[in-house]
Amino acid sequence: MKRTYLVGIVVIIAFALFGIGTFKKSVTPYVTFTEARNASTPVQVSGMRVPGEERYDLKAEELRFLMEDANGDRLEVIYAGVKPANFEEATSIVAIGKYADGAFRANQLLVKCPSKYQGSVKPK
Amino acid sequence: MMIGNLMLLGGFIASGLAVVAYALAMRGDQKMLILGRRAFYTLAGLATAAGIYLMYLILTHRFQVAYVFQYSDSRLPAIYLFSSFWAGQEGTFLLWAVFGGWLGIWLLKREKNFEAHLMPFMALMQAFLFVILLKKSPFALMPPEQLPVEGAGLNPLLQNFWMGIHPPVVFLGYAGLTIPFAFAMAALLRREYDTWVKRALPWTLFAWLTLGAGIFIGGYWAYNVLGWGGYWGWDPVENASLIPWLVSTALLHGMLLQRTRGTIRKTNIIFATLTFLLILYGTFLTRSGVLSDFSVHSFADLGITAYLVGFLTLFFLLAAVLYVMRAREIAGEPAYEKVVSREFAFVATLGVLAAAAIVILAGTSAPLLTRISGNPGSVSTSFYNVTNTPVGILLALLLGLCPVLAWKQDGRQATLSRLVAPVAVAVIGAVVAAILGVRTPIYLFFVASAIFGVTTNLIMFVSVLRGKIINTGGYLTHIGVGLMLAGIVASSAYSQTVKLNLAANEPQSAFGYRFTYRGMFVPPATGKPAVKLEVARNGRSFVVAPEMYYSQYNDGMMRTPSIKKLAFEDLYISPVEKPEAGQSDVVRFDIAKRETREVAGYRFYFDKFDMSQHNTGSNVEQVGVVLRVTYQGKETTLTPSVDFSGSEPGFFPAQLPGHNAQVEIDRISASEGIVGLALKGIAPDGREVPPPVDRMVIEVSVKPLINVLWLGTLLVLIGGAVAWRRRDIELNKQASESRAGELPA
Repeated sequence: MKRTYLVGIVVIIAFALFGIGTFKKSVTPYVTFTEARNASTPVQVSGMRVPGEERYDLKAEELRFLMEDANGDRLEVIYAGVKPANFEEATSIVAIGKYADGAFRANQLLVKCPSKYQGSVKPK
Repeated sequence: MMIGNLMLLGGFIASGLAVVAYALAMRGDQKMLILGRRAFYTLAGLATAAGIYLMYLILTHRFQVAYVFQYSDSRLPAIYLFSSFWAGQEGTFLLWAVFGGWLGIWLLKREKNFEAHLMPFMALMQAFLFVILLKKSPFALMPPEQLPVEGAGLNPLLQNFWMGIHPPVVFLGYAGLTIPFAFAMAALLRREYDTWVKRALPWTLFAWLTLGAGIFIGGYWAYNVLGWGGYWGWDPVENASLIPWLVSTALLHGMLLQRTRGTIRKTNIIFATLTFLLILYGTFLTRSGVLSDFSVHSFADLGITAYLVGFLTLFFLLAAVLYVMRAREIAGEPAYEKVVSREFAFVATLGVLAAAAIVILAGTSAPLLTRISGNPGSVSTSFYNVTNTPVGILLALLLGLCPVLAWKQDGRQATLSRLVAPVAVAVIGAVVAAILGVRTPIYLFFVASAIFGVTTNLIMFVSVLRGKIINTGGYLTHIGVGLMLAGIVASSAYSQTVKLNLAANEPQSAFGYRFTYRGMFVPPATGKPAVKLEVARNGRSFVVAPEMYYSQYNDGMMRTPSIKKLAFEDLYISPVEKPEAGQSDVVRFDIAKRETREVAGYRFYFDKFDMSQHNTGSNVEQVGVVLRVTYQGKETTLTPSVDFSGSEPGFFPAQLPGHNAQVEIDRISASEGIVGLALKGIAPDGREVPPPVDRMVIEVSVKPLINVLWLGTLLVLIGGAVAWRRRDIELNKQASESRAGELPA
């Protein structure tokens, strides 16, 4: 009986450590554009999409666009996945990834649109 | 509108009355019991009336109601007007309140003995929903200065059968999971720590079944519509329903253990409470706006955060105080005596499910947790995948072991002999998987565990089937879980993806298929522009049509994937981008009436406008430009034209002599007598430029054995339904027996 409890506690502690370790490895903090440029680990940045600045690079098969933060700082973002459905409508974008070679290479984009689930009525 | 808000207010007052009256009825006051019952009927009736009223406002297009304006328009097919009801936050809260009312009535009718102790909690939950609805009413009006004649429409992503039924099923599950919580609280109040489990089991199975179905439907929708190729993205909105579902799964197993062995009484009360609190916590996370920077679903703060936190705290304190008051008198017995026993397998299952719930909860709450220590951050999906891999393996092993283990005794010998065949099957399965290409040890182990789980349960299923079908529920569900786990590993870890940049009519190969892009077309069935793609393999070919069209609602391109289901894999095709033909190939110039201009080796003379096709009674409003074009001394008359009858002008270019080039009207200024012309296919120096190639970038994935996953979800649900029926029949039998026993001799 006692031995199984002991084994149980060891298993729980081991899993907890495994969980915490994985958590620390996969957490991506929110940072400013400047911090993102100097970060060595994956981070996330958010900003407004600069309209009309996006283009799809056919050769590299990636989407390039510009993000602007509240201070007017601009960051070029490169995203290799499928362009999110409501990208053109997006007001603000969250990009998760790493800064490398002069641009932010996102592996995940969260596109935030004004219409969905919002309380204020959008006048058209 | 006013009347709707009055219904909500009435519902709130009735809820409060029901809470108080029922609470007073706990001591046996019949008058209070009847008052409480009437109050509950009233609140359920008012919630239903409010629901019908909102539906009526949507169906009759009352766009002065903000909710109706935001989520519908008059062109929407009638069937999707129902989806509009639950397309927004307010509507889903109302739906929740309606289901809560109905389930409450069903509950009070069937659980007469427990009524006074159960219903205060059901009514309190309703009070909470009415408060939210009053604060954020679906009947709120548009500002008086803007009275729209047309609605904003429904998001095309939601115009889908599966998304139509997903929210009602989920909210039925949410409403249902209030019931085991109410039972647990009633048990504490009545100091009856065993009977509640028997009574609550069928209710819990029903709620678990509906919430599970809702989760699966959501995943199936995401896979079929969103186009990123997956069915589960570990988004907070998804996790908010998964976490309570996992805990309710633990609760179900705990209830079965307590029913059979009379142990883990406290644990079950805690699980029932946590399931409910986690639903409230998930609602808080996804609807308060705290995660708005971390979720694809942008949830703006509706100003209901304080109420969400308030009620979460209220319910927590209520449960905690009641539990602490009673905890000491609840008899605790060791949950198991021998390690090789079914009891231990159950306890371990509870532990593993709880661990899964905890890691997913921690991951989903990461933005809140990390905020405490500095920069808020979120975890990437790899966190969930990595931490849940051991969970999946352990679950598969446990549910595989369960049928071969006996209650109570430590039958090592018998157990071992029953293990031989399933283990052999699992090993053979692993070898086959390795030959087919599964080389990562952890995945091989995962697949072997899943096959082991399916095998032992299949053996039991077949042997039980000879007796009574009604007893097969658990085995069916477990076969389903095993298949799901195998399908998840195969379809995600061994999915392959490639992007193809296709030029029209030039085939390219990937994964043994040949893809040929045949241009865009509009299938009459959907009326939405789609990519025509021919796919061929081994001499057989088929055409798929992934949609790619502009949506006014989203002000952006919508992309719907095409999924070709084959026996062993899905071919998943998403349109990525339609590259614009280069604009540099176009030569533009203006020309006035009776003016001559020399451009790109041609001499153009603008003779006159051709209005013969204009306003001829038909719908055609075509304006032509008559040009005399001289090329290498030869004169021809060309008439490019524009059709203005549609919402977008239609351009009809004319073929230029001598080259594969066209002249097209760029703009017309009739008052000045000037037209802008565009030459396509020719450079300013008269050199022929090859016409821009029609191209399409697609993403192609193969998803091996994904049908095994879907089959698994189906079996889980069928098994759950069978188990629900079984426990329901048992309960009715007990009830009629106990009634018969009460009759005076």
